[in-house]
Amino acid sequence: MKTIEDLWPEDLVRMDIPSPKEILIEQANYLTERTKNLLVGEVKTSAVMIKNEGENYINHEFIIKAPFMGNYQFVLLKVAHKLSIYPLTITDELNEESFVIYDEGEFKRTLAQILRSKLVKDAINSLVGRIGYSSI
Amino acid sequence: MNIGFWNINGKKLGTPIRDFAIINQLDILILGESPYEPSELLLILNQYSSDYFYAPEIICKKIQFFIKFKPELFSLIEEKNRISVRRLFSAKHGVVTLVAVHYNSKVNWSNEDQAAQSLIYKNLIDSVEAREGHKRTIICGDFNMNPFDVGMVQSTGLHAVMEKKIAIKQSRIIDGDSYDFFYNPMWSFLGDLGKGEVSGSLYYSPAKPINYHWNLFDQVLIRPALINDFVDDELDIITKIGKIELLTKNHTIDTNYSDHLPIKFKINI
Repeated sequence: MKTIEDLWPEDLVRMDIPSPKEILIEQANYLTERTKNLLVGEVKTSAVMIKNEGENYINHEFIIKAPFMGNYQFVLLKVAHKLSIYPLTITDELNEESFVIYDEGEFKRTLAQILRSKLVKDAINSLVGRIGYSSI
Repeated sequence: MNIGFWNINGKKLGTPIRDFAIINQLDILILGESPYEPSELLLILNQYSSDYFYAPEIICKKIQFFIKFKPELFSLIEEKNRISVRRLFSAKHGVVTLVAVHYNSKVNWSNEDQAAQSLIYKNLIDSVEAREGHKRTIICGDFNMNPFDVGMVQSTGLHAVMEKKIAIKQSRIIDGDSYDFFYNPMWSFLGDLGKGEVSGSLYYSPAKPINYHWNLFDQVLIRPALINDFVDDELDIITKIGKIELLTKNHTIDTNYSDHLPIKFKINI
């Protein structure tokens, strides 16, 4: 039987480029690790169809949870993109700002800017302090 | 349990806030647009007693809670910048969810913006109710919308209806999906034949074609599960605190205090 050759491109799936979700999950894991599990970072993903645009959007919510405070939680930031990923929109929920991002480098820089903002640091310190381990 | 809400418009009103709490025997005082450091206001509230505690927030700086019981009985569930969700211990039900909001203003947001955002609020409340395992939810605060605005009424928003008889049906189905009701008792204040001395909690009368004059932005909504616990006669828009008249002689709001009137309600939980 004659074998039909693989017509897919060699770089069909580029494993070397992390998706926004993977980057968010990594940061969520760092938060959990850095706070010794007092806080837990979580990424919740959902797909929505914007009817009037006829487009599927994938939404990621970066949630910070405090298991020792009755599972208190807040959404730190949101990321929304189409299947093509870039450009994407990242929304800083605490500072109430949104940014349109065109590539991975810009995404990481903006994410770092949000995670390092004073409001975010204050919120995390307030949470950890409330739990009673202020010396992490 | 007596609960009061007042958007104090960034003003350090001092004793009127204290008297609002004391005269109405508020167990929970919720303030919007408070310029106070919590400790500063706590000293004013507790001038004659040590009744009130401050229930601290993590991220929601737009709303402050002062409570007559220990903060451990009033734990945080979730917050956004303009919404604070609390778990309130209840002798009758075990726990109840109390949500306070300070919605985006009509100055910066159109009715369409507000309606779109109410979907976010609905999703948050649905998510909290699923996690908490009950639907004993109260929402109060400055919604910056009237009871009849789309964001308050639409099924994908707060879905708040004007009659208990409708609300106790629990939910309705639209296009195959079920949407839970809130009961909004504030509808009862609209117009001269309505409840109370005023038809709203904010008076704004611009020289524009569409003008409601009174706006009822400060509201309380309850889920059907708590309707029987809600004391209708205790719901009020406050126009007088002790000897202080919050209305002018022209029957508008005296903005020397705030541009909003406070509301108070009682729920037997």
